Amino acid sequence: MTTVILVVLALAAVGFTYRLLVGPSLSDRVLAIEGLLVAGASAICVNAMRTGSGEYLVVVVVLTLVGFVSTAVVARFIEGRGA
Amino acid sequence: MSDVQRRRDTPRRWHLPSLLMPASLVHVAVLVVLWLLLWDRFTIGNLLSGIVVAVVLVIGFPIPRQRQKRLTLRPVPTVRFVAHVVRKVVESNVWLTREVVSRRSRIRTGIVATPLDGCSPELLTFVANVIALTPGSMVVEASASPPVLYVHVLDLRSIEEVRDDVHRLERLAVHAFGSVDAIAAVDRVQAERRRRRIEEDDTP
Amino acid sequence: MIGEVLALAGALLTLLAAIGVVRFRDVLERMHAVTKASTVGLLFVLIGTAFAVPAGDITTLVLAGLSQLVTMPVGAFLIGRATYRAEGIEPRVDVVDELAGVEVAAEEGPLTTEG
Repeated sequence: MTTVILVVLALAAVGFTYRLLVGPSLSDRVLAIEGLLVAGASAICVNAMRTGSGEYLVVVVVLTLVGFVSTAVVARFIEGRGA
Repeated sequence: MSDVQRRRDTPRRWHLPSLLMPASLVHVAVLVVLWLLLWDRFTIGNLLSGIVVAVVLVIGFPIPRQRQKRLTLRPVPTVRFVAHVVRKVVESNVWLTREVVSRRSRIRTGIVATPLDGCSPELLTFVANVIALTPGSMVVEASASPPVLYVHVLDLRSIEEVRDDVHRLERLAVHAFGSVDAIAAVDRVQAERRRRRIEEDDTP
Repeated sequence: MIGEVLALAGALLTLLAAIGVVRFRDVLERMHAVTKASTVGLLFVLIGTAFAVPAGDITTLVLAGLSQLVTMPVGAFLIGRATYRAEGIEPRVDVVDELAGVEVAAEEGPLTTEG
């Protein structure tokens, strides 16, 4: 069952990667990275479900915060310099 | 350490107790809770170190006096607000599913200016954040004076509908979290708007 | 078992967000897909994980969920505003655009002028 979940997350990551490579503007790429972060965070949680130990769950919190800060910084950049 | 005062709220309509606490105490409490959540264990050492860190942060980065508001939390309107938001979140995902999977795209986008008078900037921010979770709408720009939210909508059928949704959200949020003055102000402004719209509909 | 079902639902929602990001025609539309669907998807996965993990780690999951819920809308707003104002992008707006031509000046709030 967890394998199925990981496959679904991998497909989602492929979709986000497509937008990351193709997306005509910088904003598209930022969105793709946010999506990739969510997919990665979900994968970490599924791994915690598999092993039954919550060792690496703090990484999810860190990913969220780092993702937010980088989004804010890139948004500032886009506003100033155009995408 | 902290006194929590409970008292009956005025005016008489609101028969619910509200919790009024000095804002900086709430900030310290929230930071301590976050600290404990990070450390995963509730021990005395964690609690004390959390209090020290929180107090240092609150003293080191103070919020200027004129922006400190008394925070209120009314239980029943808060539950109603949370229920409304949860329902909207579920709706938005169902709607998004339909939209993403369907062959023909029915998306007609637009940006609508929704004025939110009688709103403090903090409430404006809060409503703007909740709008990002509701179906098909997202705040693209906001101005504080006059308080206007520019809402980008995915499925735009009528402008008034968008404004009504946002105003309902604002009313629920203010009744749950606003001070008594804010509630009076919002009720007055929205009654005025409704009256004006009825008058406009009547005149040929 | 129920944890895995919830996690599967969350993963499917994230897949939905990915399909939306690929299929929608404009940046602002794609942003709708990402912020709405993937936030709730991650929340479901977190709730599902709470069933399979020792009780002490649930606080971390709560923290992760709260931080996600708070930061996603703000991030979407920042990118949306920047995209609208940037020169290189023309956002597709079909019906009505009440923001065009409106100059919203950045205010100097009291927080920025304090020493």
